[in-house]
Amino acid sequence: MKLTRCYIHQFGSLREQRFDFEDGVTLIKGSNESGKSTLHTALAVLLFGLERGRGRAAANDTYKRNLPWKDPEIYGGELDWEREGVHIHTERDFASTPPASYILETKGSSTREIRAEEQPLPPSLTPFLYYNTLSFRQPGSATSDGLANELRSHIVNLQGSGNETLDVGAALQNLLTERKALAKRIDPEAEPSAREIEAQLRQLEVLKETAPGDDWDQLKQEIDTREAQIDRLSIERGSAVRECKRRAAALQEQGITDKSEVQAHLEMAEALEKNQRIYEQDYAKTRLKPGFFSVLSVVLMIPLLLLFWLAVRNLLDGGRFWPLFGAGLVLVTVIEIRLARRLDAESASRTNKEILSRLLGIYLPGHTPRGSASEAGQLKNYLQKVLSVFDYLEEQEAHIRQLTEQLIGLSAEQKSLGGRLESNMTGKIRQENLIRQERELEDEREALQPVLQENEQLREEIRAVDLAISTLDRLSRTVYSDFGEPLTETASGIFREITGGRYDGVRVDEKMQLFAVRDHRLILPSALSGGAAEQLYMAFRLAVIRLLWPDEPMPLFFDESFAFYDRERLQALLRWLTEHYRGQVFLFTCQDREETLLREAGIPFRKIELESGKLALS
Amino acid sequence: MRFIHTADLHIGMKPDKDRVWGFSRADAVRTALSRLISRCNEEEIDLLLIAGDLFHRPPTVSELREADALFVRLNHTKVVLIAGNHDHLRPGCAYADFAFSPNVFFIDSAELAEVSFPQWNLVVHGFSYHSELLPEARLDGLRAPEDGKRHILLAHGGDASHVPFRLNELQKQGWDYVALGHLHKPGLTRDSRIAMPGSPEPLDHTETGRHGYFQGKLTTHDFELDWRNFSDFQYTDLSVKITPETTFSALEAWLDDHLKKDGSEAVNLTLKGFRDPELTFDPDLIRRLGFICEVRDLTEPDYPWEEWKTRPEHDLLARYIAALSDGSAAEEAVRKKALYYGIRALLSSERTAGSEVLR
Repeated sequence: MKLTRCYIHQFGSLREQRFDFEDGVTLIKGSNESGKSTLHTALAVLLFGLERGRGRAAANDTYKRNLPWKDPEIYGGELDWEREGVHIHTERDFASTPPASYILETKGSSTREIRAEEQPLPPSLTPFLYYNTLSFRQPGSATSDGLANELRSHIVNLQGSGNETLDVGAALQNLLTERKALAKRIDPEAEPSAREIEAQLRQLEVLKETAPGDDWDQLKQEIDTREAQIDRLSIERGSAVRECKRRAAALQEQGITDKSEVQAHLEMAEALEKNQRIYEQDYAKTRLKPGFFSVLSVVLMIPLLLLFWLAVRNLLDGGRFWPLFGAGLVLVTVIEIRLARRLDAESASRTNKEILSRLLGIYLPGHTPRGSASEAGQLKNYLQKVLSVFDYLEEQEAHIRQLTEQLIGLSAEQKSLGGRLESNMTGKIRQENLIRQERELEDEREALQPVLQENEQLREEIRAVDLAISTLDRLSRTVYSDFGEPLTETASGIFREITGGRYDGVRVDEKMQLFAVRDHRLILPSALSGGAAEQLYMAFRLAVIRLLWPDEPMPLFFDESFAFYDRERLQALLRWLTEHYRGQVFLFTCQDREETLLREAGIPFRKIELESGKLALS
Repeated sequence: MRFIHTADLHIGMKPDKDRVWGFSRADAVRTALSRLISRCNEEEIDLLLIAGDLFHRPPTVSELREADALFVRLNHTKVVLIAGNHDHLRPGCAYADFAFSPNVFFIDSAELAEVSFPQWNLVVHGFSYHSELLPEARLDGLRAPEDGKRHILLAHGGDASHVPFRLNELQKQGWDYVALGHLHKPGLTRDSRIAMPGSPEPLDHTETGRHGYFQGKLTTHDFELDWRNFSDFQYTDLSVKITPETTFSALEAWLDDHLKKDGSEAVNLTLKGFRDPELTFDPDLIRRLGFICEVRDLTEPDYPWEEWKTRPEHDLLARYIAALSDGSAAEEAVRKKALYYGIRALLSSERTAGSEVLR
C-alpha cells in the first residue's frame, strides 16, 4: 500500500494544501503548531472516514478538534493511494451531515465509483490496527503497557483474512458483564426457603404419624360397653342392698340380732322337740295327774317296808314264807323304781315346757304355749328359717361387696379410657392443625416453584455464559500461541539490531507482557531506561507489522516518536528501517536531528516543510 | 339407569395462582361440583360416579361438609365415590367420623368393596387410596361376577406409581363399564366400556383441549356413552413463526389478532423461526400481552451462517463456532446458548473497537 497524494481543502489549521508522496523516507518538518500532527490525523481520517460524535464525549473529539475556525463549511480533503495496481481516489466532506465521501477506483483504464466499505484496504487494516501499529505518535502513548494487551485480541484475528477486529478482551468483558447481570437476577433466598419448607414438611409428616387418632372408634366402643356394664352392676347392687336392708330390718323388729344365739336356740328347740316327743310317747297317754304317782310311791313305801320286815323275819324263822315275801318285795321295788323315773320325767318335762314357753314367747309370740313337741317343732322350723335369712344376708353382703369392688374397678377403667379419649380428641384436633400447617407449607412451596424455575433457568444461562467465556479464552490463547513464537522471534531480531546487540532479544509471555532479554534474564520495560523501553516497544510493533502484512509494504508514520532516543539509537533505527523496511516511512518532526542523521547515514529522503500554512518542497 | 361419570375435580386447587385470571380459574374449580350437581338434577341422572380426587388434598371436615351440602341438593341421584391419591384416607383423617347423606355411598375400603343398587340390578365395585402412592397393579386379575347383574368398576390410577393397569387386561374382565379417574386428559376405549373423563375443569396449562365428563345409560340390554363439555375455559397451544424482520411490536400486533380476549382461553406460546440477532423476546414482557401461560422461545438468531462458513479456518469466529458445534448431546442446550452468547459478545466487541478509534 502506498500513499501517493493528499490534498487538504481545509482541515484544522491546514488549508488548500497539496502533498505528493513517494516511496522511501519522507521527512515532514515544521515548527510546533505548523500542522504536522494535523496532517498525520488528516491522512488517517481521509483513509477511514470521520464520524461526527454526539453529546459530551464529542466535545473534544477528532471531529471537533479539527473543525476549521474559518469557513467551517469547508472541512475535508482528498487522498490518493495505490495497492496491487489499483488506484483509489477518495474525497471526503466532513462538513456535511453525515460526512460524505466520494471514492473512485481505477483499475488499468477503467474507473468506477465505489462505496467506502468497498475500498481494497489491506487485510486486517482497521482504524484500530492503523493507530496501534502503523501510526506511531508521541512517546508515552506508544510506551503504554496496555498496548500489548490491546493488541492481543487483534493478533488473535491477525492471520484471518476477515476485516473484523474482533476484540476478545472486550468480548470477554461483555460476557462477564452479562454474567454479572444474570447472577444478580437469581433470587438467593429461594433455594434455602425451599429446603426449609421441605424440612418442615418432613417434620410434620413425623408428627402426624405419632399423633394418636387411629383407635378412636374402638375406644369409644369400649367406653360404651363399660358404661352399660356399670349401669347393670349398679342396678343389681342397689336391689341387693335394698333386699338385705329389708330383711335385716324385719329381724331387727323381732329383736333378732345375734345369729349364734339363734343357733343356740335352734339346738335347744331341737332337743326340746326330741325330749317332749319321747315324754309324750312314754307318759303323756295316761290321764293321771303326776301328784297321783307321788302319793302312790309314798303309799307303796309302807307295804315295801312291811314286806321287807316280814321277809327278814321269815328268813330268821326258817324261811317258810320267803318266796311269798321275796316276790312281794321285788314287785313293790320295781313299782317304786318306775314311779321314781316317772316322777323324774314329769319334772324334766315341766322344765322343758318352761324353756319352750320362754323361747316361743320370744320367737312366736301371740299364743299360749303348751310346751308340746309339735310346738318345739314349729319353733325349730322357724329358727331354721331365721338362720337361712342370716345365711342369705351374709351371702348377699359378700355379693354386694364383690359388686362394689367391680364397680370401683370399672369406673377407674372408665376414667382412664375417658382420659385416652380426651387426649385422642385433642390428638384429632392436633392432627387437623398439622394438616392445615402442611397445606400452608405446600402452598408456600408451590408459590416458590416459579422462582426456583427461574433460578434454574438463570443458572443454565450462566453455565452457557461460562462456557462461552472459557471457550473464547481457550481459543484466543491457542490462536495466540500459534502467533506468539514467530512474533517473539521477529521482535527479538529487530530489538537486537536497533540496540546494536546490547540485548539478546524480546520475550512475550502468555499475558502479552513484554520483557527484554539480556544474559538470559528477563527485564521488565519499567526496569529499562526510557530509550531502551521505547526501543523494546518499537521492536515489538515492527514485528507485529511484519507478521500482519508479511508480503505487503505498509506506510509507517512516526509523529515526534523519538524524543527518548539518543543519537546513536535513532541512527540505528533509521538504518534498520532503510535496510529492512520496504514501505513508505513518514517522519513528522520539528527538529533538525532526523534530517542530520539521515544525511550522515546517507539515506535518501524527501522533505516536506510545513511553515505557517505554506508548502515548501526541497 | 342414567349416569354421569366424572373424576379429578380437585376441589381446593388454585390453577395459575400468579396470573390475573387465576381467581376465575380458582372459582371455576371451586364451583365445578355445584354446577355438576345442577346438571344431574336437570338431566335426571340416577347415578353420579366420582372416580377419585374429588379433593385436591385429603379433605378437612369442613370441606367434606361443603361437598355433602351439595350432594344433599341432588333430587334423585345416588352418588358413589372413592378417594384417589390426592384425597386419600389416612389414620385419624376427617373421613373417619364423617357421615355422608344417605344418597352418597363412599367406598372407603382399601380393598375392593361393592355397593348394590337392586332397583337397577346394578353393583358398583371400587376401593379407595389409603396412601399417596399405590404402585401395585391392583386391577390385574379382577373379574366381574357373572350373576346376571350389571357391574361397574370404579377405579383411580393409570400411571406407574398409581395402580398401573393395561386396557386389554381390563377389557377381558367383563365389566359393563369401567369408570376411571386420575389422568387429567379424557380417554376412551373403542367400545366405550372403559373411560377416563379427565378433570371437568382444566387444572394446569399443560391440560390443553376440551374438558368435561361422560354421561351414559346402562340397562340390561342397552349401553350408551356420550361426552359432555363442561368447562367453558381451555388451554391451547399456539405457535408463532418469527422472521428476522419480526419486531416486538409486530409480535404484539399478531398476538392481538390471534388471542381471545374474553377469558375463555389461555395459550402456551411457542416462538419458532429465525429472529433478528439483535432482538431478544423477553418472555415476561410477552406474557403481559394477554392470556399467555408459558412462552417457549425456540427461535434462533439469524446470523449469516453461510457467509461465516467461508471464513478461514483460523478465524476466531469460525473457530469459536466450530469449538461449540460438537460435544455431548446432554449439554446441547447450554452449548447452543453459549454459542449465541459468544457470537453476540464477539460481534458487539467489533463495533466498540471500531467506533472508539474513529471518535
